[in-house]
Amino acid sequence: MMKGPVKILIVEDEVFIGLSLEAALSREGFEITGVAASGDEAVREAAAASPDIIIMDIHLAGDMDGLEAAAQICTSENIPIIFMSGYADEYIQTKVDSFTPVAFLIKPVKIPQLIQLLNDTFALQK
Amino acid sequence: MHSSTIIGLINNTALLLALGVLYDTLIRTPQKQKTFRELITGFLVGIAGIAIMMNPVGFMPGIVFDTRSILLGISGLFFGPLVTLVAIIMTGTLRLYQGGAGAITGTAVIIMSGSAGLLWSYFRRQKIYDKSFWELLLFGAFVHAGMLLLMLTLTREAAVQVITKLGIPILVIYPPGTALLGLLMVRRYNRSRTEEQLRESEYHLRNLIDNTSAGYFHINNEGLFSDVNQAWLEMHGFSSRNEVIGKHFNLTQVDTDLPMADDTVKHLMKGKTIASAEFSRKRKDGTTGYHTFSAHTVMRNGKPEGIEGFLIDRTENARLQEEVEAANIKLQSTIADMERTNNALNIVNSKLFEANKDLADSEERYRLLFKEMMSGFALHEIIQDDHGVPVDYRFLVVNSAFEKITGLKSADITGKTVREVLPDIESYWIERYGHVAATGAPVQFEDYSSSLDKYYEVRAYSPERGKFAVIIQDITARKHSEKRIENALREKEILLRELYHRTKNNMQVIQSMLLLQSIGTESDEVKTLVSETDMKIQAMSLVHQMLYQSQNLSSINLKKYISDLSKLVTESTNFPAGRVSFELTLIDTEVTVDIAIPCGLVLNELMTNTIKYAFPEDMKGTITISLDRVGEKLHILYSDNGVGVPENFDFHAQKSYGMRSIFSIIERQLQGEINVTTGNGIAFSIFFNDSHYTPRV
Repeated sequence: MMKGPVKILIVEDEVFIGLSLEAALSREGFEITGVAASGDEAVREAAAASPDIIIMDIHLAGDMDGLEAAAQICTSENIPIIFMSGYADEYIQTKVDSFTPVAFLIKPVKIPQLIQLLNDTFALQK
Repeated sequence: MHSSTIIGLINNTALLLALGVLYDTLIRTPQKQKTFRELITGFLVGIAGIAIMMNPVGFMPGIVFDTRSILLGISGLFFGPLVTLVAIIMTGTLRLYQGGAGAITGTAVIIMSGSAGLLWSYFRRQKIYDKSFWELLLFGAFVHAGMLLLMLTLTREAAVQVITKLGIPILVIYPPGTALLGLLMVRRYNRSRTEEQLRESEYHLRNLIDNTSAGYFHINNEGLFSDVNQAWLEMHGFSSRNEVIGKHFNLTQVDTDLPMADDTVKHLMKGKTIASAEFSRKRKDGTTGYHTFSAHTVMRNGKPEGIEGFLIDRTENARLQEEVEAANIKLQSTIADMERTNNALNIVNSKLFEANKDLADSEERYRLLFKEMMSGFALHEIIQDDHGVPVDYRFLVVNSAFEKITGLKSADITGKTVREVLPDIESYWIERYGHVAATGAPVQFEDYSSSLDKYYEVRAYSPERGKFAVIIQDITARKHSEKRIENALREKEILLRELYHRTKNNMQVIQSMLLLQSIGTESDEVKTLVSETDMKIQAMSLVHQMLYQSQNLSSINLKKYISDLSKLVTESTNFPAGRVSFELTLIDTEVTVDIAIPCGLVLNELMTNTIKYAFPEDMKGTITISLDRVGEKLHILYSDNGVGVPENFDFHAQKSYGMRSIFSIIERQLQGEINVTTGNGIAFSIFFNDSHYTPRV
C-alpha cells in the first residue's frame, strides 16, 4: 500500500512539454519529483528522489538518450517507466520492448490518456 | 601453085582426117597389152603415112610433097614414142625406097616431124589434151618451118625453087591442117574420156545401189517395178529380182496404206516432190515392216519416166522407239521426281545460300562488332579441381574494349589464368562463372572487383560446355552517381522525417503552451478556446505524424487518417465513453498533405460540433462518415443522427469561426462544394478534387 501521492519523474528536454505535463499531472494529484532535461539528470534525479514511476522521453539533449538513461536507472532501481517519443520506428520499438515498460506513448501525448494510464497503474496504491 | 598441087594436098588432108577415126577406134579398145596396142597403132599410123605418101604432090622429079609431116607430128604429139617410132620407120623406109633427089630430105622431114611431136609432147605433156587451137597452130608452124629448113639439104637450085614456090603455101596450109587434126584428136579424146568417166560413174552408182543397206527401187510410169536392189529384196523378204520386176508396186503395200501409196505415186508422177516420211510395208511373208521413204520423179526428155527412191528400214527402230517411249515415260516420271527433288533442293539450297550469306554477313557483323563494340568481351575456359569445383579460369580471347575497361592487355593475359593475372580476385567471380560454364545458364549481375577497384555490369553465358563468355561494362561512374543519389535521397528522407517530427514536436510544444496558459483561469470561454485550438493542432499534428511514418513522405492514407482522427477526437474530449459511436465506410486512397490537413480540420470541426451539440443530455448517437470517389473527385459524406438544426437554419450566416472555417476550407481552399441537409440529424456532403495539389516532395 502506497503512502501519499504517486511520485513521478518527468524526463523531457522540451521545456514547455515538460511543464505542461507537470501542470496537468499535478492538478490530478500526482507528485512531480522533477522534470529532467537530459539523461544524466534523469539518472541523478531518479537516484535522489526514488520516484514511483518515470515518464521518459527517448530523444533527449546531450550524449545520453532516454533508453540509455533507463538502462542505467534499472541497474540500481526497479522503477516502472512510461516511454514517449515522436519517433516510432521498428528499431526504437524493439529497444523499448526490452525494458518491459508500462507503456510506450507516441507524441503528442494526450493528457487524458496519460492520466488514465497512471490511474490504472496506481489504482491500488492511491 | 598448080591446082593439081592443091588437090593433092586436100587428098592428103582427107587421109589425115581418117587418122582421127582411127584414133577414135583405138582409144575405145580395152587398155590391156599396152605395148601391143601401141605397136598396132604405130603400124596403122605407118599405113596411114604410106597411104598419104602414095598420093603425093609432085613438085619436080624426085621431090614430092604430102602431109606426112602433119601425120608424124600429130603422132609424136598424141601417140607417144613407140607408135611414132614405128610410123617413122615405116614411112621413112618407104621414102628411102622411093628414092630420088629428095629421098634424104624427105626421110629427114619424117624424122624431124615425129621428133618435134615427141619433144613438144614431152615438154607440154601435162597439158597435151587441153591444147587449144592456137597452140596446135603454133606447133604446126614450128614443124613446117623446120620442114622448110630441111629443104636446104636439097641442091641449091632445088631448095630455092621449093622455098620460093611452096614456102608460103606450106606455111599457110600445113599449120592450120596440123591444128585442125590436133583439135580433132583432142576432142575425140575428151569425148572418149567423158564417156569413160560416165561409165565409171554408172559402175560406181550401180555398185552403190547394190551394196547400200538402204532399199532402192525404181517404178516406171505404169506403176511397175523396173529395178530394186539387194537390200530392198531383203527388206521385203524376196530372194530374187525376178519375183518383183514387172510387178505392180501394190505388191509391197499394206492394204490400209494403199490409198495413200497411190496418192503418193501419182503425186510423184506429176513431177512433184514429197517430204521424206515413214511408211509401213508388206513383206513377202505377210508381216509388216516400217521404213523411212524418200523418192523423186525420174524425168526423161522433160517428162516423168518413173519414180525411184530409197527405203531405210525402221522396223527395229520402231521397236526400239516403243521401248524408248516406254523408257521415256519412266524417264519423264523420274525427271519429274528429280525436278521436284531439285526444286526442293533448290529451295533448301536457296535457303542455305541465304543462310550462308546471312551467316557470312552475321560473322562479319559480329567480327566488326567484336572489334568495335563498346562493351568488353572475353572468352574463357573454366578450370576445375579434381572434384569438379571451379577454382580458376583461363583467358582465351579478349577484345580491345575489354582491355580498355579492365586495363588488362590481351598480350599479357591471353593463355593465363585469372589467379595468375589477379591473385586477389574474389572467389565469387570464379564460382559464378563456373556455374555458367557447367550449366549453360546465363547470368547477369553487377558487382565490384576489388582487384581492379571498379564496378562492372556483367552478362555471362556459355557458348560451349566448359567455356564462358562475358560482356562487361564499366559502371563505376554510374555506381558512384547512384551512391551519391542514394545518399542524397537518404539525407532528404532523414531531413523530411526530422522536419515532420520537428513540426509535430513544435505543435506539441504549442499545445503545451496553450495548456500552461489555460491553467489557473476560471474562464470557460478561455478553456473552450484552448481546448478547441488544441484539438485543431492535434488534427494537424496527426497528419505530420503519419507523414513521418509514411514510405514516400509526401502523402498519407486518408482512410487511416480519418479513422485515427475520429479516435483522437473521442479521446480528447471529455464526452462520456460509449455515448457516441462511429460508423466509417472509407476507401483506401492516398492524399497529399495539402489535402489531408484541410480535410482533417473540417472533419475535426464537424465531429467536435456533433459531440457538443447533437446529443444533448444522455442522448446516444452515431457519427457516420463515408469516403468514396466520384469521377475525379473525392466524396466525403458526414452525418449524425442527432437533434439536427432548426428549420431554415442558415449555415452560411453563422458567425462562429468554426462553422465559417468549414465552408471556407471546402469552397475556397479545396475549390470544392459542400451541401448540407437536415432532418433526422444533419448531413454534410462534400466534394473536392484531390489532384488540385501535386506532391511537393
